[in-house]
Amino acid sequence: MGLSSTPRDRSRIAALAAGDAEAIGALRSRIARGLRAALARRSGICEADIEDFTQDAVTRVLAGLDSFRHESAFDTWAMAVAVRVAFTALRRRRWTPASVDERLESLTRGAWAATPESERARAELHALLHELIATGLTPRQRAALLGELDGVPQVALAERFGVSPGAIYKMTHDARRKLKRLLEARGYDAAAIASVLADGR
Amino acid sequence: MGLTSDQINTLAQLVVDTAAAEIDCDEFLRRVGELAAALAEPATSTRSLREAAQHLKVCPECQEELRALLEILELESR
Ligand SMILES: [Zn+2]
Repeated sequence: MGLSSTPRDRSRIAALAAGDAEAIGALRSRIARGLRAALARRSGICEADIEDFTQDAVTRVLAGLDSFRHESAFDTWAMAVAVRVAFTALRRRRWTPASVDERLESLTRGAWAATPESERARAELHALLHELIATGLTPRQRAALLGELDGVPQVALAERFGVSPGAIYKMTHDARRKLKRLLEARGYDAAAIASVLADGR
Repeated sequence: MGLTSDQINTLAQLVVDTAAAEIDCDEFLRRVGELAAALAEPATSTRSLREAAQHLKVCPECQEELRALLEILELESR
Protein backbone atom coordinates (compact mmCIF):
# COMPACT_ATOMS: atom_id res chain seq x y z
CA MET A 1 0.00 0.00 0.00
CA GLY A 2 1.52 3.33 -1.04
CA LEU A 3 1.73 6.11 1.48
CA SER A 4 0.78 8.87 -0.88
CA SER A 5 -0.23 9.34 -4.47
CA THR A 6 2.45 8.70 -7.07
CA PRO A 7 3.15 10.23 -10.50
CA ARG A 8 1.48 7.10 -11.90
CA ASP A 9 -1.60 7.87 -9.79
CA ARG A 10 -1.62 11.38 -11.21
CA SER A 11 -1.56 10.19 -14.78
CA ARG A 12 -4.34 7.67 -14.06
CA ILE A 13 -6.43 10.38 -12.43
CA ALA A 14 -5.92 12.55 -15.50
CA ALA A 15 -7.00 9.62 -17.71
CA LEU A 16 -10.11 9.00 -15.55
CA ALA A 17 -10.99 12.69 -15.63
CA ALA A 18 -10.69 12.63 -19.41
CA GLY A 19 -13.09 9.66 -19.58
CA ASP A 20 -10.46 7.17 -20.80
CA ALA A 21 -12.38 3.86 -21.21
CA GLU A 22 -9.41 1.65 -20.37
CA ALA A 23 -8.66 3.52 -17.13
CA ILE A 24 -12.32 3.42 -16.10
CA GLY A 25 -12.53 -0.30 -16.92
CA ALA A 26 -9.46 -1.03 -14.77
CA LEU A 27 -10.92 0.98 -11.89
CA ARG A 28 -14.22 -0.88 -12.24
CA SER A 29 -12.65 -4.35 -12.10
CA ARG A 30 -10.46 -3.43 -9.17
CA ILE A 31 -13.43 -2.11 -7.17
CA ALA A 32 -15.57 -5.15 -8.06
CA ARG A 33 -12.79 -7.49 -6.90
CA GLY A 34 -12.36 -5.61 -3.63
CA LEU A 35 -16.09 -5.48 -2.85
CA ARG A 36 -16.52 -9.15 -3.73
CA ALA A 37 -13.79 -9.98 -1.19
CA ALA A 38 -15.12 -7.63 1.49
CA LEU A 39 -18.71 -8.86 1.18
CA ALA A 40 -17.97 -12.55 0.58
CA ARG A 41 -18.96 -13.62 4.09
CA ARG A 42 -22.18 -11.62 4.22
CA SER A 43 -25.42 -13.39 3.49
CA GLY A 44 -28.01 -12.13 1.01
CA ILE A 45 -25.57 -10.54 -1.41
CA CYS A 46 -25.57 -11.62 -5.03
CA GLU A 47 -23.35 -10.81 -7.99
CA ALA A 48 -25.93 -8.28 -9.25
CA ASP A 49 -25.51 -6.37 -5.96
CA ILE A 50 -21.74 -6.26 -6.42
CA GLU A 51 -22.27 -4.95 -9.96
CA ASP A 52 -24.69 -2.26 -8.73
CA PHE A 53 -22.41 -1.18 -5.90
CA THR A 54 -19.42 -1.14 -8.27
CA GLN A 55 -21.27 1.00 -10.80
CA ASP A 56 -22.35 3.48 -8.10
CA ALA A 57 -18.84 3.54 -6.66
CA VAL A 58 -17.19 4.23 -10.03
CA THR A 59 -19.64 7.10 -10.56
CA ARG A 60 -18.86 8.47 -7.08
CA VAL A 61 -15.09 8.19 -7.61
CA LEU A 62 -15.24 9.92 -11.00
CA ALA A 63 -17.46 12.69 -9.60
CA GLY A 64 -15.15 13.10 -6.60
CA LEU A 65 -11.75 13.14 -8.33
CA ASP A 66 -11.34 16.79 -7.29
CA SER A 67 -11.78 15.90 -3.61
CA PHE A 68 -8.99 13.29 -3.64
CA ARG A 69 -6.32 14.72 -1.33
CA HIS A 70 -3.23 12.96 -2.72
CA GLU A 71 -2.20 12.01 0.82
CA SER A 72 -2.87 8.34 0.22
CA ALA A 73 -2.58 6.04 -2.76
CA PHE A 74 -5.37 6.74 -5.22
CA ASP A 75 -6.49 3.09 -5.18
CA THR A 76 -6.89 3.14 -1.39
CA TRP A 77 -9.09 6.21 -1.55
CA ALA A 78 -11.16 4.80 -4.44
CA MET A 79 -11.67 1.56 -2.49
CA ALA A 80 -12.70 3.51 0.62
CA VAL A 81 -15.33 5.31 -1.46
CA ALA A 82 -16.55 1.94 -2.80
CA VAL A 83 -16.82 0.49 0.73
CA ARG A 84 -18.82 3.56 1.81
CA VAL A 85 -21.20 3.17 -1.16
CA ALA A 86 -21.75 -0.57 -0.59
CA PHE A 87 -22.12 -0.43 3.20
CA THR A 88 -24.50 2.54 3.02
CA ALA A 89 -26.68 0.66 0.52
CA LEU A 90 -26.68 -2.45 2.73
CA ARG A 91 -27.53 -0.44 5.86
CA ARG A 92 -30.38 1.28 4.03
CA ARG A 93 -31.69 -2.06 2.84
CA ARG A 94 -32.16 -3.41 6.36
CA TRP A 95 -34.29 -0.50 7.58
CA THR A 96 -37.57 1.11 6.51
CA PRO A 97 -38.88 4.38 7.99
CA ALA A 98 -41.52 2.29 9.81
CA SER A 99 -38.96 -0.05 11.39
CA VAL A 100 -36.83 2.98 12.39
CA ASP A 101 -39.90 4.52 14.06
CA GLU A 102 -40.69 1.33 15.89
CA ARG A 103 -37.11 1.03 17.16
CA LEU A 104 -36.90 4.68 18.22
CA GLU A 105 -40.23 4.41 19.98
CA SER A 106 -39.07 1.49 22.10
CA LEU A 107 -35.69 3.14 22.76
CA THR A 108 -37.11 6.43 23.94
CA ARG A 109 -40.05 4.96 25.89
CA GLY A 110 -38.69 1.64 27.16
CA ALA A 111 -37.11 1.22 30.58
CA TRP A 112 -33.34 1.23 31.14
CA ALA A 113 -31.85 -2.07 32.11
CA ALA A 114 -31.19 -2.12 35.85
CA THR A 115 -27.55 -1.79 36.87
CA PRO A 116 -26.64 -4.37 39.54
CA GLU A 117 -26.63 -2.89 43.04
CA SER A 118 -23.06 -4.16 43.42
CA GLU A 119 -22.01 -1.56 40.85
CA ARG A 120 -23.20 1.46 42.77
CA ALA A 121 -20.91 4.01 41.10
CA ARG A 122 -22.07 2.89 37.69
CA ALA A 123 -25.70 2.85 38.76
CA GLU A 124 -25.35 6.50 39.82
CA LEU A 125 -23.76 7.50 36.52
CA HIS A 126 -26.41 5.57 34.58
CA ALA A 127 -29.23 7.26 36.50
CA LEU A 128 -27.71 10.67 35.88
CA LEU A 129 -27.25 9.96 32.16
CA HIS A 130 -30.87 8.84 31.99
CA GLU A 131 -32.02 12.07 33.60
CA LEU A 132 -29.84 14.27 31.36
CA ILE A 133 -30.91 12.49 28.17
CA ALA A 134 -34.57 12.90 29.16
CA THR A 135 -34.31 16.55 30.18
CA GLY A 136 -31.26 18.03 28.44
CA LEU A 137 -31.63 16.99 24.79
CA THR A 138 -34.11 17.93 22.09
CA PRO A 139 -36.41 15.06 20.97
CA ARG A 140 -34.43 14.71 17.72
CA GLN A 141 -31.05 14.73 19.44
CA ARG A 142 -32.36 12.09 21.83
CA ALA A 143 -33.76 9.90 19.02
CA ALA A 144 -30.61 10.22 16.86
CA LEU A 145 -28.25 9.49 19.75
CA LEU A 146 -30.16 6.49 21.11
CA GLY A 147 -30.90 5.16 17.62
CA GLU A 148 -27.25 5.31 16.61
CA LEU A 149 -26.21 3.69 19.88
CA ASP A 150 -28.64 0.87 19.21
CA GLY A 151 -27.25 0.30 15.71
CA VAL A 152 -29.82 2.16 13.59
CA PRO A 153 -27.69 3.37 10.65
CA GLN A 154 -27.23 7.10 10.06
CA VAL A 155 -28.64 6.70 6.56
CA ALA A 156 -31.87 5.16 7.93
CA LEU A 157 -32.23 7.90 10.56
CA ALA A 158 -31.54 10.50 7.87
CA GLU A 159 -34.30 9.13 5.65
CA ARG A 160 -36.73 8.97 8.54
CA PHE A 161 -36.09 12.61 9.48
CA GLY A 162 -35.75 13.86 5.91
CA VAL A 163 -32.23 15.21 6.43
CA SER A 164 -28.73 14.26 5.23
CA PRO A 165 -26.58 11.68 7.07
CA GLY A 166 -24.22 14.58 7.80
CA ALA A 167 -27.03 16.35 9.65
CA ILE A 168 -27.59 13.21 11.76
CA TYR A 169 -23.89 13.17 12.63
CA LYS A 170 -24.17 16.81 13.69
CA MET A 171 -27.25 16.01 15.85
CA THR A 172 -25.48 13.20 17.68
CA HIS A 173 -22.31 15.26 18.05
CA ASP A 174 -24.33 18.14 19.53
CA ALA A 175 -26.06 15.65 21.84
CA ARG A 176 -22.74 14.17 23.04
CA ARG A 177 -21.26 17.63 23.60
CA LYS A 178 -24.33 18.70 25.56
CA LEU A 179 -24.20 15.57 27.73
CA LYS A 180 -20.49 16.13 28.31
CA ARG A 181 -21.16 19.69 29.48
CA LEU A 182 -24.13 18.71 31.65
CA LEU A 183 -22.20 15.82 33.23
CA GLU A 184 -19.29 18.15 33.96
CA ALA A 185 -21.66 20.54 35.69
CA ARG A 186 -22.73 17.64 37.93
CA GLY A 187 -19.15 16.75 38.86
CA TYR A 188 -18.47 14.13 36.20
CA ASP A 189 -15.60 15.31 34.04
CA ALA A 190 -14.01 12.95 31.51
CA ALA A 191 -11.56 11.55 34.08
CA ALA A 192 -14.35 10.85 36.61
CA ILE A 193 -16.46 9.04 33.98
CA ALA A 194 -13.46 7.04 32.79
CA SER A 195 -12.73 5.96 36.36
CA VAL A 196 -16.34 4.83 36.94
CA LEU A 197 -16.19 2.86 33.68
CA ALA A 198 -12.81 1.32 34.50
CA ASP A 199 -14.10 0.23 37.92
CA GLY A 200 -15.31 -3.35 37.88
CA ARG A 201 -13.92 -4.05 34.42
CA MET B 1 -35.29 4.42 27.42
CA GLY B 2 -34.65 0.85 26.45
CA LEU B 3 -30.88 0.59 26.65
CA THR B 4 -28.84 -2.23 28.08
CA SER B 5 -26.26 -1.62 30.76
CA ASP B 6 -23.49 -2.19 28.19
CA GLN B 7 -25.01 0.36 25.82
CA ILE B 8 -25.16 2.93 28.62
CA ASN B 9 -21.47 2.29 29.36
CA THR B 10 -20.72 2.69 25.65
CA LEU B 11 -22.61 5.97 25.69
CA ALA B 12 -20.63 7.19 28.71
CA GLN B 13 -17.40 6.28 26.88
CA LEU B 14 -18.64 8.11 23.76
CA VAL B 15 -19.18 11.20 25.88
CA VAL B 16 -15.62 10.91 27.22
CA ASP B 17 -14.31 10.61 23.64
CA THR B 18 -16.37 13.53 22.33
CA ALA B 19 -14.31 16.49 21.09
CA ALA B 20 -15.61 20.06 20.87
CA ALA B 21 -14.88 20.07 17.14
CA GLU B 22 -15.10 16.81 15.18
CA ILE B 23 -14.80 15.90 11.54
CA ASP B 24 -17.87 14.15 10.09
CA CYS B 25 -18.09 10.89 8.10
CA ASP B 26 -17.60 12.61 4.72
CA GLU B 27 -14.44 14.31 5.93
CA PHE B 28 -13.32 11.00 7.46
CA LEU B 29 -13.73 9.36 4.05
CA ARG B 30 -11.42 12.01 2.56
CA ARG B 31 -8.76 11.11 5.14
CA VAL B 32 -9.23 7.37 5.55
CA GLY B 33 -6.66 6.42 2.88
CA GLU B 34 -4.10 8.49 4.73
CA LEU B 35 -5.13 6.78 7.99
CA ALA B 36 -4.89 3.30 6.45
CA ALA B 37 -1.38 4.15 5.23
CA ALA B 38 -0.40 5.53 8.64
CA LEU B 39 -1.58 2.33 10.34
CA ALA B 40 1.05 0.52 8.30
CA GLU B 41 3.59 3.17 9.31
CA PRO B 42 2.62 4.05 12.89
CA ALA B 43 5.27 6.76 13.37
CA THR B 44 3.21 9.21 11.33
CA SER B 45 1.11 11.58 13.39
CA THR B 46 -0.45 14.69 11.97
CA ARG B 47 -3.36 16.74 13.17
CA SER B 48 -5.40 15.45 10.25
CA LEU B 49 -4.75 11.85 11.34
CA ARG B 50 -5.44 12.57 14.99
CA GLU B 51 -8.82 14.03 14.02
CA ALA B 52 -9.54 10.97 11.87
CA ALA B 53 -8.59 8.68 14.78
CA GLN B 54 -10.87 10.63 17.14
CA HIS B 55 -13.74 10.29 14.64
CA LEU B 56 -13.25 6.53 14.66
CA LYS B 57 -13.71 6.42 18.43
CA VAL B 58 -17.16 7.96 18.18
CA CYS B 59 -18.39 6.51 14.86
CA PRO B 60 -19.11 2.75 14.66
CA GLU B 61 -20.08 2.99 10.98
CA CYS B 62 -16.70 4.39 9.94
CA GLN B 63 -15.04 1.73 12.14
CA GLU B 64 -16.95 -0.96 10.25
CA GLU B 65 -15.95 0.51 6.89
CA LEU B 66 -12.29 0.87 7.89
CA ARG B 67 -12.16 -2.80 8.94
CA ALA B 68 -13.52 -3.79 5.52
CA LEU B 69 -11.06 -1.50 3.74
CA LEU B 70 -8.08 -2.86 5.66
CA GLU B 71 -9.21 -6.40 4.87
CA ILE B 72 -9.30 -5.58 1.14
CA LEU B 73 -5.88 -3.90 1.25
CA GLU B 74 -4.45 -6.88 3.13
CA LEU B 75 -5.81 -9.28 0.51
CA GLU B 76 -4.42 -7.14 -2.29
CA SER B 77 -0.97 -6.96 -0.79
CA ARG B 78 -0.64 -10.75 -0.68
ZN1 LIG C 1 -18.17 8.28 10.64
